[in-house]
Amino acid sequence: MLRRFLFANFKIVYRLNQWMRQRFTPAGMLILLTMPVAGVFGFDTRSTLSFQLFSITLILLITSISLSTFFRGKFSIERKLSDYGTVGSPFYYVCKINNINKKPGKGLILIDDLNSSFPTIDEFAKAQDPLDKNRNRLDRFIGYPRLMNAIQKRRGGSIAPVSIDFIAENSSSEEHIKFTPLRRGYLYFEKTRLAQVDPLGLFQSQKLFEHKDSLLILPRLYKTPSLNIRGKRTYQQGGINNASSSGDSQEFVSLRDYRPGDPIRSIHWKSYAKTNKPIVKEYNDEFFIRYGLVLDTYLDNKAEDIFEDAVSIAASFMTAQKEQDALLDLMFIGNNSYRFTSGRGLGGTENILEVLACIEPVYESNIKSMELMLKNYSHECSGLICIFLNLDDERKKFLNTLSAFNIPVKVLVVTESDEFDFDKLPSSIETYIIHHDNLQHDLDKIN
Amino acid sequence: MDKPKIKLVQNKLKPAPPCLLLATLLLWGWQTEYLFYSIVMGILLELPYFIKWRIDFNDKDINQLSDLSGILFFIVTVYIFVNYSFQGIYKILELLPFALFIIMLAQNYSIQNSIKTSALFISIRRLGNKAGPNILYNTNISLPYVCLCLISASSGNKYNDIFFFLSSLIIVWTLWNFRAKHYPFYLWLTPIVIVVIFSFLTQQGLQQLQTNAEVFFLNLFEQYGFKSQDPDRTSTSIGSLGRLKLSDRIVFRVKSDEELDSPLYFRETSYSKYEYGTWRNPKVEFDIVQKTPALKEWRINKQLKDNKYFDVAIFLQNQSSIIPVPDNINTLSGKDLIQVETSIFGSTRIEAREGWVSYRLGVSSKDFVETTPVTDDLTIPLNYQSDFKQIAEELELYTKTPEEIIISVARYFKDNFYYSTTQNQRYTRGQYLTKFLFKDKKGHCEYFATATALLLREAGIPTRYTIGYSVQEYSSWQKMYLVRARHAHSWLKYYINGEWHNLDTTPSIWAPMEAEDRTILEPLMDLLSWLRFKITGSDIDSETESNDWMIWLLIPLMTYLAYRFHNKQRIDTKKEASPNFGTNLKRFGEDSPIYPLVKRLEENADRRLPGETLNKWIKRILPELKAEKYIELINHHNRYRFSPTSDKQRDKQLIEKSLNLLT
Repeated sequence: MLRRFLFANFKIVYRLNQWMRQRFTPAGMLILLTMPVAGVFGFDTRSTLSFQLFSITLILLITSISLSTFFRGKFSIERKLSDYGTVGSPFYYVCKINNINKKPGKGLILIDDLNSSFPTIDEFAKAQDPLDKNRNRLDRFIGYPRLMNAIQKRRGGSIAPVSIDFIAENSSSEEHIKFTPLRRGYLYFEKTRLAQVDPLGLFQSQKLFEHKDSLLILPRLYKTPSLNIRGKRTYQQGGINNASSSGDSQEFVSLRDYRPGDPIRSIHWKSYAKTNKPIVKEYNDEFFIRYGLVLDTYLDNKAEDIFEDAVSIAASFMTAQKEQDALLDLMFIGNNSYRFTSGRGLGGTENILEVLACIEPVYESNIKSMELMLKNYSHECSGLICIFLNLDDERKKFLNTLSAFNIPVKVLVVTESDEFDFDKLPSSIETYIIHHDNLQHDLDKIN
Repeated sequence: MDKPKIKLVQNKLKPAPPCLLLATLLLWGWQTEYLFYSIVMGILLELPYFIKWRIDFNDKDINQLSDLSGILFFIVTVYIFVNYSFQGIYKILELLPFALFIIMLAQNYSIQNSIKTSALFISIRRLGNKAGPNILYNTNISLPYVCLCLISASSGNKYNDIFFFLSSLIIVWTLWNFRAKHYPFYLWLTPIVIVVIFSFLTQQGLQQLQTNAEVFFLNLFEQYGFKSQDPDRTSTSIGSLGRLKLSDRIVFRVKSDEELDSPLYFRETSYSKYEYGTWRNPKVEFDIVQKTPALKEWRINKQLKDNKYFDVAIFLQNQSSIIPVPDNINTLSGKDLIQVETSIFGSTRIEAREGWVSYRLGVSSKDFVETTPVTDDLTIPLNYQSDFKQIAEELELYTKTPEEIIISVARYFKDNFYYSTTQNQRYTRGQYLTKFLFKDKKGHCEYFATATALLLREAGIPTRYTIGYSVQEYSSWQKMYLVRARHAHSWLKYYINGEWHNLDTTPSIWAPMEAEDRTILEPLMDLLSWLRFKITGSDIDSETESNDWMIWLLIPLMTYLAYRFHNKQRIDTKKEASPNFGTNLKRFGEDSPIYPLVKRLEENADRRLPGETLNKWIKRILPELKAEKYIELINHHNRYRFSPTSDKQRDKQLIEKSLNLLT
């Protein structure tokens, strides 16, 4: 009840805060904040003279807001985005502003913003903020900073307003905009605003342009070591379909008598004609190396940062595959079991990265489903890399099951701490701890 | 992709222009009478504009200075609250520029000319560097300081119009720096002139608004709150139609050391002459009671010893008010009281500030001596003379002794009349009491007191109509008696054997009957009233117990702060001891052969300071000629340690070679 009440108030406070931040200049904010303080102390006009300051600040703001209504003129805006951005790397794009007026545009401000929809109360309840542990109890209980963090994450970044000093009449100006994406996945642009400050420099008048766009932000990539798993080549049931261009593809071995069930297209018609009995062509079986990359999505109570690290590591392995002859299957459990294959000309890097860009953590254990998926996969797999978010008993049990498949397994545990014990782990499994703070260094240590 | 040139909008506050801080501080100093300090502070803050000398403060230094300011300000705040109570808020407001001065000084003399938001907010500091750039950023707090000084200056409350124009000037000066420069100058100046004119009119309007609002609310409040009685006249509700309904509002509070056995009457004043529903006195003169310098009290009844004390808290609407006091009042004391006066009719008038006022009442065994009866104390209005004569004859009062008269009159009212607050029948003017005596035989205390007083007069006993309050409702959780508006009561005084005595003929059922009308919101209203009473600081305990004990609260606070500082220091020391805390990262070049030499030199000479380069350190600890011999060795070491392109093997050999040469 209290939570709902607070949440309803957060909405009002957030919107008011957003409006003030977008509309008032720093000087305007200073005047705006001075006004209520002066008002409180000046409530009794006989005790202090603060009411005079209240009057000045109030009239200043009223005048400033009134003056801002004189912002006139016709403009149009086009946004030119490239296809992809990467988390944590600055992203540049261009906005073209057309001034369709007979007067030049002066002192304009271009504000492009990402859509920041307000989370639902359930989403807010589930939201995690790694900084929460550094906050005081009241902040943690009230949860407003956590909500702000959740909104910021949903938005995916903040775009700083750009100043445009001058646009000549009936001409256009191309403005470069830079921002740093904070999360992977699709970021949505909805509106662009063109603002102009009033003569007193306190309040901005704004024109709104509906302008929807989306941008895919890919996970951060790291330098990954060679997979180097002691696996052997395995028979691939999919045969040539999984290896269209290289390897032991469609190599003719011999002719033999037809057996029921052989495909008609395998019949060697010339021999059939000579011998008058069906003879079929026999091909070599498809044997090649196929690695599986298991990405653990069960986040439990861990910080979301380590999930991001795990996704980045998975993306790095998937894109920087060194063994061209090998296939690499990315497997994870979301709403369903997913398996995406790359290597040997299959599954373009862009597609895999798009999949990884949109992957979300799961808060209910899915290790059982993962186990089931791997049981069906183990016979065609040469080796496995598991990227785990924890090394609890459930996962250890899972690894023990894997060891029974007799395939080499490397486990990378992404963590913020060192608090794991490696007891009960099968000796055949190589385990590496990847620290959140020291990720690249720890990756380099993997053989 | 080449980095394109982007012109971002400046969304941080600029530093204050030169001399603005000085001007603002002068205004503050002039208003608050800290002129000397303000001149010194202003000059110190403006000097960095003219000199180049700066201090390289790091974030930790600024944080500590900020904490120091905060602690000092907190101590001052506690001290002021203890001494000035709620009124101290304006004193604290006055001192605000002092509170932030240290941090302002640090900012203006720092190389960065700004401070991090984490220095001002501990919550941001706790987030560390993980706090995003939206929260953790460098800012210059000069202009917020200007605003703070202006608000602080306003607490001086002097020179109304001059302050307005000077503060307007400072605000306009500030805004000049923020004006949108693409507009022509007149487009900035015109609105500014309009703003100043309209602000001036608005501030005058606000003053007028407060005056009007006060009049309105005081009129409203008078119906419910404690209203000081007019010593010359009081109107009764005798003859009024409908139901007499008095409010549940708490009028005053009484704290007594002992529980009262029976309701205690606190009288306000007495009246002699009755006419058409109004009791009057001739023009009453008040005599000033001199304060006893040694005891800091006003001795009203000239008795040597107080038998008992009552602590009273009352909300005064006027600076000069008649207060309810017991008949046997002897002394009055309290820091809120400015002057005490008494009248010959037993009224006690105090002069004190408006609002909640508390004082201590000392009572003795003897009642305050009122003036002896005057002619009016025996006068019966003409229209009622026959009525009272008839009753006096019925009761055979003319043949009885005064004591017998009192008994029979009291019994007469007790046996024949009952209490009622409702009057439905309309009577002709001047016949209200007749109907009360002969027809209705019911009424409220004013009927009983008036009728009894006039009947006793008919029997030749001088009487006075007395109004006041009955103290009877004890609040166990507030630990004091609450006196509500509905406890207002009237009774009479009669004069026999050379003394005035009280007589109350109103049936004792009156109080429970009045209490039946209380609203269901009474407990809530009581709680709000109690909170307001506590917040305004007029705790009636304050007279007897000093608030100085609050100073002791600072001891655990200071201990905690000291512990926090110590603890922080301890953690920092640990961090310094192991810079690779939490990681096993080995830096390249840590195996350089120079380190054993460095260690040896540190043992013999001064330690290398954090952040000090080897070059600097060697030059500091060794004579110039000797230090030069080490420079080549250090250059080899630096190359070995930091150069990404050099031949490491060779560098190491060169270091060893130089070392051999030196040794």
